[in-house]
Amino acid sequence: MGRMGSFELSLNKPEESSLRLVELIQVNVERDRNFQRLFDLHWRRVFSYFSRKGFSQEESKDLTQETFFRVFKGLDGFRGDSSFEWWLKGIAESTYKNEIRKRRTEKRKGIEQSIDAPVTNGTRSQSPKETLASPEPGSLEEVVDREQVKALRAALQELPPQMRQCCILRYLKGLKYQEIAEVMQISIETVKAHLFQGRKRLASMLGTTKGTGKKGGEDET
Amino acid sequence: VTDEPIDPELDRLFDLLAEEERGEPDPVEHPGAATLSAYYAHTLPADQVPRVQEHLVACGQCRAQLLEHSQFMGSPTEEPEDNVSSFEGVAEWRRLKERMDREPRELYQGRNTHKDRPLRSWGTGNSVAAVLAVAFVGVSLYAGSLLRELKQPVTNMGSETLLASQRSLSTGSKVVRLPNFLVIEVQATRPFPKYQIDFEDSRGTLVETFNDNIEEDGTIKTFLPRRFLKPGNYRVIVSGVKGDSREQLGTYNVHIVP
Repeated sequence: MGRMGSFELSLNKPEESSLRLVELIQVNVERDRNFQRLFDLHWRRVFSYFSRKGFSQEESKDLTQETFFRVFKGLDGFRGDSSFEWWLKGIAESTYKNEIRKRRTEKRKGIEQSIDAPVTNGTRSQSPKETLASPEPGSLEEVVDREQVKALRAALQELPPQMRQCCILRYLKGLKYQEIAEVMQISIETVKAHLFQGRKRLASMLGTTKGTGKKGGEDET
Repeated sequence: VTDEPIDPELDRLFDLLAEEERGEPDPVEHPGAATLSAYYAHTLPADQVPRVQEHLVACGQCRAQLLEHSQFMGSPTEEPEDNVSSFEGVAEWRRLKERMDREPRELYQGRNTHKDRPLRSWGTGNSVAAVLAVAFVGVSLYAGSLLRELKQPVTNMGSETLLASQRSLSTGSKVVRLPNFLVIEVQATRPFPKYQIDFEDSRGTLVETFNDNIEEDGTIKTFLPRRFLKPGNYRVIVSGVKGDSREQLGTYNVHIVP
């Protein structure tokens, strides 16, 4: 029998190349060689993932090792319900969480909660100090605000779905243009057009004062 | 710089609404990795896309997953390289390979290590030891044969051959069940350093291209994985490639069956 399964990767489709390599490994064809190819194809991506999380180069290398070792151990169980890359990122994420958990366990003793410590994991939770200082609801201003917010909520529902979703992601969830484009799978230009139109329509529906200038905000997309 | 019209009052209302919604929990049900992965890859059926988008707008958790995956898949130029060279990549692979090779032995040793426990008497101990020894030898032999079997390439994997005599579209369709090896007999007037295999669907759209080497027996053997092509009829075009020139060597009809 010849060298069954030897081939060159079609580099324009890395996801299909990965799937092909995974299946070759699963049927035990040139297992080591194909796993090395899989490693070559993705290790930099995994390394960058850990670098972005703030790990040093050496730590990122170790965590990349750990991730691929888990891939090696679990590859036979991969059924291809999601793409290989999605699965790989999931393993990298789990490796990251394990590492964080390990470090937290080591540092657990001696940590005190500050009364001013409000930010956890990107989501701002109300600190005990803020809770104590929360104003009592009920003033006339607040009642008016509540009504206006209710009207804004209703006005948003009147927008076409994609325009509404862009507005929500931008103004309520605080995403950047690039992120909205990625979530909605549309171009940045379309995102901008939706936001422009959306604001105009909302202002018109709510009767708020509309300025004549342009809003200069985000210089990164 | 954005093109959004200035409207401080609208911004203030958005801030208030954002504040109201900040504490709201994510939806309880999520689309799952398979759906999100397909959405990211643009392979989700069109009728499911709006539902997923609506969910992504509402669910911070899934949104974060999608954005993180997008970053994960970002092109290398956008990634922090941190001076990692391909040389280091090779070294890292070697380190991983050593660990992969070491692991089965570690598992094997781990299974057979035992903690020292006090035995009631030497007689009982000897009997137990004898039984354990026999069991150990049996298990070792079985494990050894199992390991040998696992290390061997799977030989019951089938293959379908496209004969040189079938290399025209009028000779009928070859049924190929996935996963499988496709063996293509090549009869070229001159040798080529590379061979290209194109798969076109029934509408003539190029679906996949492989570049393969020729085997010593004059065939090209290529592996077609399970999720490689959708079931249906395909035209397989085999060409010899040398530099920029390409010579068509044969065209076959293939019917892919899942």
